[in-house]
Amino acid sequence: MDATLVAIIAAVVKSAIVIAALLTIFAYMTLIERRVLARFQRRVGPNRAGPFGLLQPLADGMKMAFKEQIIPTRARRLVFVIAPSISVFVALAAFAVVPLGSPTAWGSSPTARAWAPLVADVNVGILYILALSSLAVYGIVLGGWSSGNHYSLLGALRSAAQMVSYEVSIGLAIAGVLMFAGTLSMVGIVQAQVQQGIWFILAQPLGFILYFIAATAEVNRAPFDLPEAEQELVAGYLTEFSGLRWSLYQMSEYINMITAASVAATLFFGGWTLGGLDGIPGIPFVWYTIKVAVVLFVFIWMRATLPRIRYDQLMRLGWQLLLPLAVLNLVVTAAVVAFDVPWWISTIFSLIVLAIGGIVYYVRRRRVEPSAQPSDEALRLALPTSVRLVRIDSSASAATARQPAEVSPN
Amino acid sequence: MTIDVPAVAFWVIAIILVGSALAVVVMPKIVHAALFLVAVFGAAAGIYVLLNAEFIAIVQVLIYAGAVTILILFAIMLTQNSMSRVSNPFSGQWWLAGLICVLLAAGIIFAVNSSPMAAGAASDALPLANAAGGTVVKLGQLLYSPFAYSYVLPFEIASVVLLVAIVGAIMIGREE
Amino acid sequence: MPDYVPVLILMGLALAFAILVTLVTFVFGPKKPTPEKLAPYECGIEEIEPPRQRFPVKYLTTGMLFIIFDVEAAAILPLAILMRQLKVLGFVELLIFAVVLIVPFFYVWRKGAFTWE
Repeated sequence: MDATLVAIIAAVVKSAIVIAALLTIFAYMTLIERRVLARFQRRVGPNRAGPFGLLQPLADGMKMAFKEQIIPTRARRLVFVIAPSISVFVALAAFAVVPLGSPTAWGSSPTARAWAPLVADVNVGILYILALSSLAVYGIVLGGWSSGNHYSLLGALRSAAQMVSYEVSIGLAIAGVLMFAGTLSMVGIVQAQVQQGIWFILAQPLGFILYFIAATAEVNRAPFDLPEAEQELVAGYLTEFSGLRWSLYQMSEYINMITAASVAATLFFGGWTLGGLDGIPGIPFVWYTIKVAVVLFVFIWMRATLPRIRYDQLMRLGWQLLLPLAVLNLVVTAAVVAFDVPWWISTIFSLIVLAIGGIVYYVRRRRVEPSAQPSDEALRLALPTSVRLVRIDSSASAATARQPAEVSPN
Repeated sequence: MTIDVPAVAFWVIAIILVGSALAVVVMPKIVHAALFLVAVFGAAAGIYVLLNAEFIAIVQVLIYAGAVTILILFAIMLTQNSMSRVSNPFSGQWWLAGLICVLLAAGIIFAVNSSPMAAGAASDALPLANAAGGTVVKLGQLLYSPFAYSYVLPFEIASVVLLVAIVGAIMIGREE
Repeated sequence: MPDYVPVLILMGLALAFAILVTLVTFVFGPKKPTPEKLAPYECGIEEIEPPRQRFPVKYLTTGMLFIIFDVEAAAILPLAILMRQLKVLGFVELLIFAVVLIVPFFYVWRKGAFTWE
């Protein structure tokens, strides 16, 4: 058979597998997230459908498929109908360059390379993901705008400003890794980590933290889920959507999350490699899965732990903290790479910056004026009778009174 | 059986590109026109990929589709007229625009067919693509290395241009 | 170029999937519209006015600043991957570029472009 034809067939099969796998993972991510969140809150979570609730995603999917598609009279029909499709298309397409294993995993003949466990290895891999994730904002903005609803429009505007603000930080935060790697290809970055014998998180702890915060905001996850802040905006841009088209938005959010986790695993944690065991078939994929799963777990953990931040805090954090720190990290890393000094110099620098950040945060938290803390009596009055289940004794209220300080350290 | 993949890809992309570009002009609602503009940028990126200009293709998507069009959408959504039924009306002078387009197209076709720089010479440009690390590294060397081509000065001047743009953005966005 | 064919194929399949789901959901779902159901969601109260009022120009300023810093990032990334080859010279280029952009950044900061009430 012709090599071109083999390559095309292989690409079709692999793409289909990738899409099916992402959809399955999305479905089970929703279940895992609900179960894990339930554990955090000392509940049990959905466990009725099938063993351990394993059939829950299936049940949810069936239910969604048979829901009515409501198109409000005020909606701009065409845009309203296609907006979720744009979102999910962009999310799926961004995954094309994520390597799940070495391109020479099955050997280096053209046929073996065609069936390697990655859809494509392009020279501009990481930029491709950045570019596609910059398109993710369209689905949300158009969906919110076309709904013809106050909440939707506000959610869309917020999310657009939020996503563009954090995108710059992502680009600059990963520049440090690219300097060490010397390539934009995802496969090349993993190979550079093998060659230099380190995971780039060791050289770039600050870069990783900046990337992680910015990526969380970029995929609209808690504590940055302002576009769908339910206290103020009902469900933000999702308000008027129902059934499977609502699911498409959820789907794209989770797939973007998986892509962000994959980028973190590839850039900072050595992708599919660990300890020279990648020669054994299947092992690289296991490493990759473990690394991505850990990052995804941290996403869920943050959602359970951190309160949602205010919009002005969000914009300040993105522009006034992440962006300058990313530029600082960039310049220092450039110095380390350009003057050819050992990589751990940039590690030390990162740790110093992180330590200073920690100290500043701690000091500012201490400095909240006593008057800003509610008195016991005020706290007692603030709670409506219906939720006053616990007697507020002074030790408990002291613990509660510190809560507002944690929410807004400034 | 052989498939001429680049040729197939070119025709698919070209049809999408021209169709979307026409749609940008004729769509009666301006938001739809802006959406087709995204498709135009995406298809143009596809053409760049066919020309082995990967970096330009990605930047096309990143900057034009991902940033400039977002700004256009912002501007459309922030103004009131976007709700009206015909927000992208035809100008009375559409025939003049059409005439200019035809003349421009004729000029481009003539230039492509007669210039020694065009089609026939394309194969000379290919070594660039086969350089180690692809066109991005080669492009970077041309841009940033003073020993190769030296576009270092224009690169630094570009930062001054961006500086002016930042100040301009602040002046435009004044609230008072 | 051949590297991008699989990408294009994945995009095609993703597009097909997105369209398919949208069609499926309109075929399977019931269609029982009522005027109340099709009204914009307002938490059960009557809507006072449609969402037509203008929005703060701040969003537009943020968008413009984003384009500029995005261009900056796009210009820095090819320089970043060449840092090992260009050595000190690359560092100096980056430093000049960064400093020229940090100055207006702080100007914009002082002007309050990042401060939302």
